Amino acid sequence: MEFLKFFSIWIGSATAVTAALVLIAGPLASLIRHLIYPPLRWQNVATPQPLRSPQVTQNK
Amino acid sequence: MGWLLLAHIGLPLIFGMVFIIIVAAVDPRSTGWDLLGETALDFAILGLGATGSVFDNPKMSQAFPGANSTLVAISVIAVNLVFAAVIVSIRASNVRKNAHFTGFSSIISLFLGVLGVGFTAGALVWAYLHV
Repeated sequence: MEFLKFFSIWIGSATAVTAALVLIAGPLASLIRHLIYPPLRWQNVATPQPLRSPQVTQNK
Repeated sequence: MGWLLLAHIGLPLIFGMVFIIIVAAVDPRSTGWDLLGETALDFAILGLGATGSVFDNPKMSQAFPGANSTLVAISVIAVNLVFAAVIVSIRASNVRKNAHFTGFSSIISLFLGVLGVGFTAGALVWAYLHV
């Protein structure tokens, strides 16, 4: 009887922990990735350059 | 009862959060269900690794006298190895097919990993409650 109680606690707690981790995993991983790999901001992106330099145009 | 809950719910939950943080920080490509699959593998390794230190405890020798302590330790390792084998086979099948973890396979893997850690911790709690 005591073994059965222990067994039910074992299975029940594993189910509860799995459910909690499934719920936590997504937001936690997003938070960590946001802190480690911050998203690009527009001021950090280099200004697009023309394909041909003005010098090449002048030579033509 | 408090120690029982700590061993079965508290410790696996804390370890699970730590594993998720590590996987998310180290491997930015593992997204969605893959994250839980990797965490399950870490749980399996933890369950196997913790068995040695748990059965080094003198209380275990008192709870399981003589050679019984060794037999219980081998049994715990065997059960943990079965769980780890299932987790690794699910992962290997995904790698072979060049596919990702599905929701079902990642939840089953995580459940087996948590069961392994809970089994190792449960043996220690069992010994403390019965000595």
